[in-house]
Amino acid sequence: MTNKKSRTEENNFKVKFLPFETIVEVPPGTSLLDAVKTASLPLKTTCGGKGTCGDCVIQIIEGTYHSKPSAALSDKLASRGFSLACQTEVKDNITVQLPQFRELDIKSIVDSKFFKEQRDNISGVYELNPSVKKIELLLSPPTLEDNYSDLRRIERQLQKELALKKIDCEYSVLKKLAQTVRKNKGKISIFLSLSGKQATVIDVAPQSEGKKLYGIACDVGTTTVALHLVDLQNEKILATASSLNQQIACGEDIISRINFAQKPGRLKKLQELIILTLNNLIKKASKSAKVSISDIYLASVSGNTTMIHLLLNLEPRYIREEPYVPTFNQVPTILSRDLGLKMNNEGRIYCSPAVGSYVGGDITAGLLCTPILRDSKKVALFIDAGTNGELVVGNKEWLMTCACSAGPAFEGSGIKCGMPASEGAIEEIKMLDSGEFKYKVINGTKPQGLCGSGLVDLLAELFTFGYIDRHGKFNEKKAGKKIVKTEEGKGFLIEEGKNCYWGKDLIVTENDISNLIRTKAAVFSACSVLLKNVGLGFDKIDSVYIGGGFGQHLNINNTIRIGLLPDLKREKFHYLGNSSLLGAYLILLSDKNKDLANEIAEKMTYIELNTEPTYMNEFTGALFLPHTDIKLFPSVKQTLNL
Amino acid sequence: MNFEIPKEVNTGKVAEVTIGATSEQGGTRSHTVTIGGSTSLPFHFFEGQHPHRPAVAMEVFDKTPKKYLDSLMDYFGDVIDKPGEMAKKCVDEYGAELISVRLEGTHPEKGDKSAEEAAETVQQVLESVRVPLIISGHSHFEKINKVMKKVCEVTEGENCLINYVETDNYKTIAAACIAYKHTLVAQSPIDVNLAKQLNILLTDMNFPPERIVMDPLTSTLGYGLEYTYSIMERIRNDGLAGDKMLAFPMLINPGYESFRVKETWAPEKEYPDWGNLEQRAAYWEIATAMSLLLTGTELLIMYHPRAFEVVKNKIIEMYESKKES
Repeated sequence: MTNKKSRTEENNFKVKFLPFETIVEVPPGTSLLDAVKTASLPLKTTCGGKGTCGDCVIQIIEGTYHSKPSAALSDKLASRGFSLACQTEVKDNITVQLPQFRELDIKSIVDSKFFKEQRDNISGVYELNPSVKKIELLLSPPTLEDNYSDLRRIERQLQKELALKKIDCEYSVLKKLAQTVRKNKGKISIFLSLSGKQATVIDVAPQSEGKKLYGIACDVGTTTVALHLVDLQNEKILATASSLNQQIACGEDIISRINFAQKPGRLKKLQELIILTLNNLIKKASKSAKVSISDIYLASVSGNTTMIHLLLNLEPRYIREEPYVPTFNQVPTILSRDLGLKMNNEGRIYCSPAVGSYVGGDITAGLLCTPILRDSKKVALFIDAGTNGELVVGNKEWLMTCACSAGPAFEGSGIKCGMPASEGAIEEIKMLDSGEFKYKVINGTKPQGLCGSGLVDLLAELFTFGYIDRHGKFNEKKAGKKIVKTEEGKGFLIEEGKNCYWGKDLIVTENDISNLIRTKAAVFSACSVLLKNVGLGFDKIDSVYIGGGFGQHLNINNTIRIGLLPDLKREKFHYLGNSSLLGAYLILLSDKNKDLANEIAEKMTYIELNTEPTYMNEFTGALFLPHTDIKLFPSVKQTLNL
Repeated sequence: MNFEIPKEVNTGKVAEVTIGATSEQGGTRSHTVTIGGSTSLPFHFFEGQHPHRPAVAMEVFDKTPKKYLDSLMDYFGDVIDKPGEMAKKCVDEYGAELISVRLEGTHPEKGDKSAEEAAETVQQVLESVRVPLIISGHSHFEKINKVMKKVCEVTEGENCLINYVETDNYKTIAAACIAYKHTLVAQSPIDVNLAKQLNILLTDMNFPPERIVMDPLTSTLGYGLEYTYSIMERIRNDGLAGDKMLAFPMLINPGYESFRVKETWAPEKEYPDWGNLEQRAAYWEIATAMSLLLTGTELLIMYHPRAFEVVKNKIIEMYESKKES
């Protein structure tokens, strides 16, 4: 029996999937698509593995393989190692790249024009004062007269320098303390985790080792995860990494993830997937910055309430059930060893505080990057148009917030021609009078799909030129040959296959358009309900800050044209990009921002849209381009003559 | 003491829609029926103009409905499978002001009759009565588009009320209505915004607004009538407040809706508490129709001859009181 088992295992092949670095073992002859499923990776197919849709394209980097030819894949790509996962059998140990899951095109907001102009004016503080510090000490050698214990002598020295009330020490530090203090003639580096006047020694090393102090700031989104690796001695961002949240294979939005977690073992699996995602990113970032993982002592994580529950392996079901109460709003500091995150074993993890089940730490963190809390007269609106859309309105005196289930459409997920803002994504697209498109692709490659900003442009252009009606349905008479049949119904040809990366026609389907309209309607109607609740009209808003995964640029005019954002003077809008990530970075840099984030969280009044009787009405009103009530969009009415 | 009734002044007006065409107008009807035109809430004669009273239609079928009520068979049993004769009976004996021809039998799962057969049925009815016609379809998009196109074509100039189009399937039928000069029902599922959106889509394709009737897809007593009532009320209020895209006359189907629910067919033997079945069936339809009349109905398609009579007489009575006041 044992013999037989081990033989089977011997015959199995190892398949390694990049960029996730996930390895699975499968019996010979298994299709790569099944191997992907075994690995719980988010590769999708439309045709269900028949080899016709071409969605499951992968690239084999190493190892021999056998693949059936398919009309959905050009010979040129096939010769470069590309292949359809469903048509490929595992015959060797192989390494496979999943090319759809490239790094996101994230530039830190720190370098953005907005942040450069506003950084002294934001609600958080931009300073370097992290809660883990590295202190260089010179301990005088013990003598018969000065025979205090090693630890006591460290405490004595620290108290002298830092005026601390209480000093604790981790067991792991004690274990190596005696040798460490003697190794380098008492020249040691102490790593302290500080909380007010209390401190805990979390690591000690001889100065000669040259140990550094690094931290990571992470945005754990429902669809995408991004992080900065930061030098906590000079606030420099050393590397940035991002990928899809691997949990996406278990459901695209938070509700389906919560449902997924309801069977035994599944919650643990979701936790493992997000830890795996984060660890791969940490590995990638530290490799590129040549940083030792054991030098990462602090992590600041922001994410919506569900994502943080799943990260911490906490039961998420009560988020979904009335009266929608989460396990926590403010998470105590967590130890990295409890989560298995790739950083120093004694590393500290801090999660931004949430307001409630549907307004999470990504929002409190995001608000830190805006000037909203600096002014007590002007009213600002903050919109985070992620998979779970959140909105905040107010100023220094008051803040109201609500959340809506917008869906991942503008992050490029759930849309046939959509993709995250990574290499190969169309980020800007314009229609010429000839009906041809002119577009700009991230990194200038052949296009693979459209990211959020491109999708906003596309919808606006199709609407402006009359190729879709106000309900988002194609005007077939006008579009003529550009209307093509797809497996998912009618589609509109954006670019011919010969000009596209995958060699397949780039098509937006009527379903995609409905999906985008539903998403924009969810955001806009939440906006209306929120403002009506505080008795303000859109005209009373002085500035609008927009966060979300649209990409680097967002054409504000087009977001208004499709009715995603209210029709206000264009100069009132500021597009921030990933504000959750920047907020996490600010919190990582300075302990003060933790307190500010807590203050913000407590100040916010949360409105539950589920119980708001007017929401459904506002939503159906917004399911139109730009809106059923055109009076709300005077500039669009005028330009398009509606 | 003199009491002055406070009056609501509205800026909007419900569109006036005419159904049918006489020989001078290119059709063969003896007269036309015009509905709409109100400038205040229904029956608020003291507040505004109400030039046309709501019209009441009866319905005939291209195929005997599976669950046609025994209580109706007493009235129509001899003609139920002869739409022409049944239409004649509805008009001559009961006083139907319009006839609706329901083409359910063309549904692929309910008989799959061809477009030509449907056109024949409609022509039969056209020949047997002189009142304007309503042509009522179903929700199988592909088939009904074929059927309505054909029916529109063979009834060119008659200005029938083509019932209905919805947001996901409006272009083909609306285009046929424009081409062959018919009036159209825009149906939307109990929602003010969705109703308005469809009307915008229709007018965006240059459909003449004076030829649109709205069906807000109402239910019957006991099945969410209050909700449909409030939606119709909001549609009418918005219309009267000046929103032209909601200021269209409204059609309801108290017959079709009432005769689908248990209360109108469950036998007295099983439910002695519910009382006499025939009375109950008629009352159910009356209660539905009368309630929705109060919230802005201009056109009703009814089934039960006794219910029809009560509702029509009540409307006439109320409009006569207008003259007196």
